[in-house]
Amino acid sequence: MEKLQFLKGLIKDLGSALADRDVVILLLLGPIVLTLIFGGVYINAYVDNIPIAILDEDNSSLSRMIVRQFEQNDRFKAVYYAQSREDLNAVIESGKAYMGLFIPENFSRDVSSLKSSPVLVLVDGTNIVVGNNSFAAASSIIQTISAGVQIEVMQAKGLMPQTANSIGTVLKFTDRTLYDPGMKYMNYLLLGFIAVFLQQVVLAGVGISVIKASGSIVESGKIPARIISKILACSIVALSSTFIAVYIATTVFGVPFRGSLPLLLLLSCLFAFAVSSAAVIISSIVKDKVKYAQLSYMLSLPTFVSCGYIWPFSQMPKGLALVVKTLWPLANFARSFDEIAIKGLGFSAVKHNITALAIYTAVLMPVGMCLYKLRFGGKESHQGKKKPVAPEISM
Amino acid sequence: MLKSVAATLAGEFKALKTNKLRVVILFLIPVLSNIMFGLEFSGDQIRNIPMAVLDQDNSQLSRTIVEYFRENEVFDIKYMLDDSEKMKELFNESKINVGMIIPKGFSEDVKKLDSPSILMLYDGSQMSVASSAKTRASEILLTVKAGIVIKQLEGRLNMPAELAQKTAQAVRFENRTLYNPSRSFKNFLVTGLGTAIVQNAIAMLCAVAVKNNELEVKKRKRAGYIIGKIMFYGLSGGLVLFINVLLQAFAFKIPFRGNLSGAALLCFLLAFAVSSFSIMVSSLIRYELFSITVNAVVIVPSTLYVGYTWPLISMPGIYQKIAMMLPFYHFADNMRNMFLKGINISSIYRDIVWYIFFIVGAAFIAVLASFRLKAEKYGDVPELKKEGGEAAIS
Repeated sequence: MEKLQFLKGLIKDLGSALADRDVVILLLLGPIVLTLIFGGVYINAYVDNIPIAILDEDNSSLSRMIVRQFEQNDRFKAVYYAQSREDLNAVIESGKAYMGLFIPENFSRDVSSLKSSPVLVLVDGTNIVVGNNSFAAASSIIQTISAGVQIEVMQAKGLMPQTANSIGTVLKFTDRTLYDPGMKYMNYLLLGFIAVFLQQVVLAGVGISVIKASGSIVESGKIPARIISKILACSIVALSSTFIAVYIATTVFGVPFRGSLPLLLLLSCLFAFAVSSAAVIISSIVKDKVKYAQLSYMLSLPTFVSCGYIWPFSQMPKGLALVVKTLWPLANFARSFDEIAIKGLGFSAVKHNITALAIYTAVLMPVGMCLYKLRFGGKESHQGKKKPVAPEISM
Repeated sequence: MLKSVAATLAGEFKALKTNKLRVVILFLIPVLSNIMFGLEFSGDQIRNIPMAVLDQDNSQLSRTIVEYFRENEVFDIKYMLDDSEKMKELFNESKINVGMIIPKGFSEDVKKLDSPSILMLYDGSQMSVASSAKTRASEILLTVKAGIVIKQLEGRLNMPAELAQKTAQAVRFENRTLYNPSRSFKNFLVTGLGTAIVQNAIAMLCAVAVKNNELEVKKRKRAGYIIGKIMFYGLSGGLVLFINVLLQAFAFKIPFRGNLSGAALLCFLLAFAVSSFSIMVSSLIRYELFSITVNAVVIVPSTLYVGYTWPLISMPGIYQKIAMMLPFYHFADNMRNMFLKGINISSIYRDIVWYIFFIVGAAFIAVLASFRLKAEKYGDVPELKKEGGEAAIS
């Protein structure tokens, strides 16, 4: 009987959640639309056409060959030919070029006479994404040229071409980048963003629903059952749209998916409940849906930046990592959500996250329920006593 | 009009005392987040990346190479393996991010000039870690290679050491990373993240700042009311922005090479631009939750839209055009450049002009939009008023 009533409540809550314009727009469209918008940012997989400035003081056939390699590389776009070192520095400082290539006077002659002449690359380090890409491409061009020149020099010193060649390639390094060989920003970030979208819509959806329906929830006398059914209703819709978003990420934006869908779903469900516990607590404290919405949107940036996704926990001060992991469930979700999908992590690899989310919910959900009863059930509650039914129906 | 500007300003400051949540959103969350970002990235660079080594050669040369990695602060060799399957497992369980395999007979092959290969494996799913590891590993391996070439030249051609070294490095690749030589993530990210959180706060509060029950009937007074609101959030938001900039410069030691008055001006311009935009939205959209959502979608993800991390040049054209219309676009790179490059205010005069036009334009629309609103006094909607000013009436 109890179960039947709970089921009825759940169906009713699902119905009222779907009839509620704000909640539906948020839960259903939020993750999908945001995935499309954010995916568009990273649609060009690589940072290409980085504006660079060139100063070739040598103007020899060797230096011109080096310049040509830079000009023809997709990663770079030569936008400025400087006249002096000051000019080169100034153009980088102004931000018109992100990198400068400097070949000194007598470079070619010095190479032939083994004076170990340098090619200087000046990288603007203010934006590390651009800086690292310029550095990697420049380094690869110059290493290739350098190897060729080195072999020529060795031949000139009397080595047989084949021996010179063998010494030049005396050992090789082969790189293999696993899971995401192209190291695309899209693959790196989009699933993490989807994890945050899920957090934001569940936070907003659950919080706003329990505030709006506080009258009827308190009136019914079954606060835990009604809140759980609200959470289930919101989670079902939010998880559906989140998985549509994951589908869009893999099909439209080509994010690789190697993982187990049931495991991803299990982790996401646990996360939805964990975030809902936080939502019930915050909504009980704030008690006003507009203020609650303001507060919940404020949490997206700090929770994402600190959840170990863009900067691993191993690199943070230990105390901060502990505080973040204890206070906020995204720390046990975003990275694992991404890794289950992209790397195909198994249950054992995310077991600790699953346990942490379960403990978080088990501890904070009852706290949230008690706080809700205390805050909305008390004499001072306006939404609980004065308007027992109305708030659920209209805004 | 001036009187109502002053009255609105005074009212808002007074409300700060009673409305604790406003203090939490405008001051507490932004400042605490800024402190958290500063602490989070205090390591500057990625260090101690967990690594596994499979040394199938176990020669003096291979052990030397492993030693290079062991001594480097970027890597933390956690596993010495004797089985490549185990390495695969460690990657799949996210226990390591880097792996190195030195094949059997490596040292002999080097002597025979058989060009053996060291295999480096990286976990590409954690990009900040993978790119740091790649850069440092290739530096180490190039040094190793140069050393071997020099020895070969000395041995085979009886070259003197110095000449062998010069031959091995006929062309030197010198690089210099300007403005952020250690490629610190703190320097790269914190100025933007710690200020973005303040603009989010301004946007969230301004999204519902225009209240029907506070509106005056006379248009002049109403204009004063809107301008007063913009001024309040512009001034208080600008102040919090500047506090965060000072914390970054002095508490977290992000090198600040510009001048502080220029930074302060930029902070207030951003705060005024965001507050006038969000108050414009508040005047236009009377449905509060929708107004908040619009602001959340337009303003909150600004750090991504405006090319602060992923550069604008790599975004589709339409994104580039939209980015240039966002207030944070004219702030983010400029503020980071004030810190790291020490640019002065005169080099960003175009952005200042943009801000002035934007602030005046948005404020003008906000005032016009407010004229169509119906003023409601306390008595008009008693029940809603009691519920904390939730009136969502047009």
